[in-house]
Amino acid sequence: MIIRQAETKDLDFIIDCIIESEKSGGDIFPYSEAFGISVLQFSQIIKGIFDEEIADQPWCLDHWYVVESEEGDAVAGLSAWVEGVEGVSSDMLKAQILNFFLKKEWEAATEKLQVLSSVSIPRIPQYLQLEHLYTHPLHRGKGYMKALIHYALELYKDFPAEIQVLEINKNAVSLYGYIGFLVSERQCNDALERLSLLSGNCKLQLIKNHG
Amino acid sequence: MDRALITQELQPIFAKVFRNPEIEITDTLNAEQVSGWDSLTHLSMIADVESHFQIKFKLKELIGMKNVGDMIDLIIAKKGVS
Repeated sequence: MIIRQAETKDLDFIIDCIIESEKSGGDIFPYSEAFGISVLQFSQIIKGIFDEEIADQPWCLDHWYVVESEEGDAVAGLSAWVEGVEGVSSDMLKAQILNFFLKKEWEAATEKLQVLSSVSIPRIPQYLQLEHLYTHPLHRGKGYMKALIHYALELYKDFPAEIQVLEINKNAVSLYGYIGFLVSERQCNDALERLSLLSGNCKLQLIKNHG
Repeated sequence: MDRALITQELQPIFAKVFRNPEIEITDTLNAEQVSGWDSLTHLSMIADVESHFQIKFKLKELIGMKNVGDMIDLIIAKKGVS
């Protein structure tokens, strides 16, 4: 198994990681539901966002690490960055980026975005953030994601770490718990599932401190 | 129109968006210091500022803003005032 920093050639797989991790194992893709755009349209927008090379938020190639299969393909990936190093939260950066790229759709999405933000948990400044963790289904059960998380934790060993995940994604929650992450906050809103905005109603913040 | 006037004109915009009539605008003011300044209210504030001053921020400019002082610098640069 080779773990390495992502390269431009991995971008299609990275986009798969973003889309599939946002679905959290379900069928609902929140960005399609909120903005009324297709997954294909979202993929094109994400490519445009990666072209901007905006650091300190998950959609930046410099923050991505992948596991490479024996065939040389990226088969597991995650985004890792330290929150708020420049004094601005990654959620704020992401909102500005999305608003810029989806100006026309943003206004119509405002009510849905407010519901989505009701379970938003502020990320902790100076914590390593792990986001969009995803392994291709054909390569699951091989310990790739566990190895990738340990790789990121070692790379950023001076920082405590945080992961946010939907509670309904039991396999992911279980893996993070096995690695030593503990639930630090839980936010729920019954409207999320009812309005088909997320695959589950509750979001968890998990943290792993040193030691 | 100078820096002080821009600061003065920002006050009612911030007061409305962040629902705080007493909010005091300073160069160092940022999201961490204001209750209710989250990603959504931030974008409302940006839209109102753009509309009020008849300007448009570029993405790189939005990303680079760390506090109100940075925003005022950009408004000054775009309006050509000092």
